[in-house]
Amino acid sequence: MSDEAALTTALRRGTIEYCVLALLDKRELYGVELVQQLSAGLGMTTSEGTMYPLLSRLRRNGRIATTWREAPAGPPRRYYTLTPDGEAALTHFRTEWVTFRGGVDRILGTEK
Amino acid sequence: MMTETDHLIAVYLARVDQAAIRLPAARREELVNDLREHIEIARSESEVDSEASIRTILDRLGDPESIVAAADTQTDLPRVTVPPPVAAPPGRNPKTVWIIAGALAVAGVVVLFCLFAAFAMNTEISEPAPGPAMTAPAEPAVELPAQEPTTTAPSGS
Repeated sequence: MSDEAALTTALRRGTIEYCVLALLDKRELYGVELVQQLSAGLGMTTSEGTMYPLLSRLRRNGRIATTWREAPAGPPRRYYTLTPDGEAALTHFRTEWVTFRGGVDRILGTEK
Repeated sequence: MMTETDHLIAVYLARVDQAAIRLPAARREELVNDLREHIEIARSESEVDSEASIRTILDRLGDPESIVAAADTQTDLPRVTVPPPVAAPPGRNPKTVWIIAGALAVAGVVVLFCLFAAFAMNTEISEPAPGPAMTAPAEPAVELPAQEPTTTAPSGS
């Protein structure tokens, strides 16, 4: 059980930040939206909070940026956007990922 | 009702803050603020502002300890490019300068001592060198008179 959780965590570790970049590549999102889309997409609906430290690091590393926008209702939203650095990192990862996934699939026999 | 939900949020954020005590102060503050912001917005978006809806928001955020554990793993990259400690040394600069100066002075003394010792050993080595050279001719000189008695001894016998 905890082994399975550890496996899932390990698999997510290197990939989740690129999922963030890819979501922001489509359109800018505010924290709640981003975190909910991410957790829904990756089956992490009980650990949305763990994504804020990741967003913080991506911001520090200049791959994403934030801007405040007034909302029609409720408090202003802080929108996350992709920076040119983040875009370059995403492009690079997409290439790496296809190669990596292909290699793993061939070894595991999970190609289709 | 409102106070109860406010209390739930305050307790949750205090737990995060407490768990995040091991993080750098700025990151700890940022994490708590990010989560507070998330809760406020999620709350404003929920159809009913009830205790149950707040509990759902907090449950989805997850256990404070695991959020801080995630923050731990996210410190790897920034550690390489830590600019804040660069700002910290100016405060310690005088001390650091004295420590470095002291270390250099000690190193200098050690090097000088080593050089002196090496020089002294060299002269010690070179001194015995002429020694044997002096005794080499001296030995035959001593042997010679010793040979004389031996030569005289056979001649005597």
